[in-house]
Amino acid sequence: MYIGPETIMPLASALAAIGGALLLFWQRVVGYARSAGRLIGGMFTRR
Amino acid sequence: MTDNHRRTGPVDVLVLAASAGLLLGLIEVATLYARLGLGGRIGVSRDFTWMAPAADLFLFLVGGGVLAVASLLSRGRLPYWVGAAAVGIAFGAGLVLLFPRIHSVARLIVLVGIAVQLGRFAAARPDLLRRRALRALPVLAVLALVIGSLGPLTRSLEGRSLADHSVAVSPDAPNIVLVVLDAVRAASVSAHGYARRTTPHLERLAAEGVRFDRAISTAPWTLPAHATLFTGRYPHELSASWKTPLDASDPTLAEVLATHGYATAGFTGNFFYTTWETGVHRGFAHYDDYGVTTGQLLLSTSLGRRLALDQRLRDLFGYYDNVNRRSAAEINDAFMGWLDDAPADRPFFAFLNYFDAHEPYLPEDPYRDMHGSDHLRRNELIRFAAPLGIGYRMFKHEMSPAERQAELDAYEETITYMDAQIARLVEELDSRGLLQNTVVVVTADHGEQFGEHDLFEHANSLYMPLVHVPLVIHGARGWPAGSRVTTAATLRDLPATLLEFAGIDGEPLPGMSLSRHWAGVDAAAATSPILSSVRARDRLEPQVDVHSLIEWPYHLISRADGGVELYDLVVDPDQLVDRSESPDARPALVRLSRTLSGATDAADPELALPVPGSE
Repeated sequence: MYIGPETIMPLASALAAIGGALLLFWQRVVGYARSAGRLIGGMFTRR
Repeated sequence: MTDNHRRTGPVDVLVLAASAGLLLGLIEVATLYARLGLGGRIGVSRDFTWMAPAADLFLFLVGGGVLAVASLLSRGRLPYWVGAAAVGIAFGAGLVLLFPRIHSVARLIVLVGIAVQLGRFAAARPDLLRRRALRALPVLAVLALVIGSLGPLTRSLEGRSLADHSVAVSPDAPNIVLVVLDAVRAASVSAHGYARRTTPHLERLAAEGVRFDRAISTAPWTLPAHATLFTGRYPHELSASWKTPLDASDPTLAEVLATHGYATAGFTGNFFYTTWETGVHRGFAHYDDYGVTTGQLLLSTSLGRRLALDQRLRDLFGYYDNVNRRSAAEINDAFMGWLDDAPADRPFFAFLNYFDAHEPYLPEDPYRDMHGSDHLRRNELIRFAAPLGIGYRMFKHEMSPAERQAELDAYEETITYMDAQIARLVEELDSRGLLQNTVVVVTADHGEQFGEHDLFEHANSLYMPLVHVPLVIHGARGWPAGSRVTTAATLRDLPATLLEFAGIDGEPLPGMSLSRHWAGVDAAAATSPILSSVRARDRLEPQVDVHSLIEWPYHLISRADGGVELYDLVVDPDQLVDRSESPDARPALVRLSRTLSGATDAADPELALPVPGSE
């Protein structure tokens, strides 16, 4: 499968944008991840 | 935590800025090494190991200085997180600019993300950030010093291995100085008959030496032309091309001279296609390509390159030159500095490339406006294209005749400047008592076009303005002074000629010495084929491989797509009338086509050119 510059560059840009967005909203992302983790953990402990 | 801990003192912000600058510099060095490791071209000096951290440190300290002043002016009321965010923005910018192919929107998101996180951290835990920055600074400084020394150390070791002086040298061996005037065409040189007195000093040199009025370069652009000057091979026999350097398949002139005891040194102003990455530096124990200049320091960093290529900044300051251009005077100074320390018991071979005639044409004072047309120039149309950052005046085809003449005038003013530097070089050699035992060769790698055949600049054709170059040789023993050679000669024969001067036998490099013009040989018959070539390139002309052959007075230009042109250079020196369809010229066309096809076939059968009438 050929993966050339026309694929790599948009892919790299998309990954960079995702990384940048994560940096911008890091605290919120961490907060959501912790909430999700507690929710999932709670589902298992109830059982 | 008291409120004071959240304020910025001037020292706080300077420490943070310095740490960020050094960290970014070290990341840049790592990125450049990674690119080199992947076989890419980095386009910076080998001293990037210390230049990048030093330049980033300087840029960040300048920015940090501004914040420090702001802090002082605000009497310490400037919040620490503001300073941290500002440093974060600069750091993020430097980081994302290391990857220019990433979309600008993505880069902006990353940059803002870094600034936001650093600002938040500084707001929440200012003392922790202060301590970390303070502790990191000396560690980063030591790392920068150690890594920074790698570049100069590597160069020093390479130079020492080449500077082996255990080989006995002939006591009669002369010094050799090869001056290459980058992009100078013979048609603009008065020493070769041009009516305007552009090169009075070169005229005097020619009067004491030998001038070749029909010297032909093997290529219309820098890298293959220099590769031929250093190997004696034609461009189609060499690896050097648009994206590939000169490989180590063939020995170079500098290598051969070095193994025979010569001290070898190169000083080039062309920091695009004669640098250490292009392979032409091979054999020089000392090779000064980029130089250590403020401009080069700036270009060693992603932030610096972005600033240097920013058109708005250039328009604001009215600055349209390459930021790291070195003048012929600076090249001479670098050579003289090396000569001060060169071994006195060895002859030397020095290569000097003067880059002043290469676009953008910006002659130094007092040569600027010598011809009174500077007011017609439109330097604001000069653009600098990444990644090399060469500046070119745009919209040349829309120029009026007067504007076109103004460009030519500026170009020739730079030639006159370089001519004065040649005089200074010769005077300096004379004052050191070296001139009597030094052969000075002045030539060019290629020429330049100013609308001939509706073409400009170089590299895009094989017409005479590009391949007809100056050649003057001064100081060759046994050569009749004041001679003028009108037989066509190829620069491919220059390396063999220089080896003959050095008394080195055995034909280590291909080609025939130009001394055959005095050796009782029919020089016109016994000559290397006067071949020139240019390979196809992406998006720009030429789009196919082109080769040319000169058998005076005919000049055949043959394209790999079957296009053929034939010119009679005696009756049509401007090459306006293509005689390839003329019945009278048919025998010459067939003869030259066969010769050209045979010469290029010898290297690569796939380069076989169509021979008219052979279908």
